[in-house]
Amino acid sequence: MTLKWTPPRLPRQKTATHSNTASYSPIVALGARRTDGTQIPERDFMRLAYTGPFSELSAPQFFTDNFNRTGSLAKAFRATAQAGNREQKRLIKAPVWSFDRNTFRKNGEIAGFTRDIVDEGNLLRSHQAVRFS
Amino acid sequence: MANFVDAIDLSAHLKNILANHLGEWEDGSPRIHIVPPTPKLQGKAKADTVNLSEVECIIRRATTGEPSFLSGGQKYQEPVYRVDFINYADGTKLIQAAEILDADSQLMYAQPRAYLAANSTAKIYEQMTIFIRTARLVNQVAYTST
Repeated sequence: MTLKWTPPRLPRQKTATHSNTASYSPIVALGARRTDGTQIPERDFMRLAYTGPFSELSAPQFFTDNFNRTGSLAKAFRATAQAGNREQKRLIKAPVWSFDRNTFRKNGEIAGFTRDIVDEGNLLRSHQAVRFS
Repeated sequence: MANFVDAIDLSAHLKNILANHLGEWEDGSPRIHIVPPTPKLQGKAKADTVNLSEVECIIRRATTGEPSFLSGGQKYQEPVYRVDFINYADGTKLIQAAEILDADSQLMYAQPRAYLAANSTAKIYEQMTIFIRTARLVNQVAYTST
């Protein structure tokens, strides 16, 4: 008996890059040490969109479902990365991020210990479309 | 073999290559630390022949590793270490340290480094974060005649 297997073709572009061009995005994502000795907590919305507790995206399941539907690794990969990008934008707007103090917003609102990271909207506007290479 | 066996190995390497750029703990040891545990020591400026340094280096394991595929479909997560540098002084030691890190051949980066300049408006120190891979390297191919 002969068994034959035709493996699916590998995608040509194997890297998806997410980026945010806001100057303070590293402070949000990685945290920072203030000059008064306190720590700005890290709120890694990019990574947590794929792995975190707040994410509504299950990337492995999304990829598998897409591959089963299309039979294409390239399409499944692109669709998953684009879903990840949408999830990152949703997480910026989600009021789930811990902060170590209350602060006043420009519109007079008090942002508390749990908040979104929209701020003045710059982070959200600066989130770029996913790039493949 | 891996480029670094564990965080202690990485710490020893960074201590060695950044000897002239790290500050000191109050007991005089290089200002580098692996968390946990929390250091009980305060930092202090270290004087070298050129200027003072108050650069602090904190190593911790990143929550996600780099997936590596083994035979038989098994997966192994290579540890990734997050290394935070904070420059408590208004000096050039951190930039100089970055150049040393760039030139080092043993360090393999898991993602581009993040650099934050000191910002008086946001009231933050100058700081830099790098992510170091501990990839297994093939550095020898042995041939055995049969």
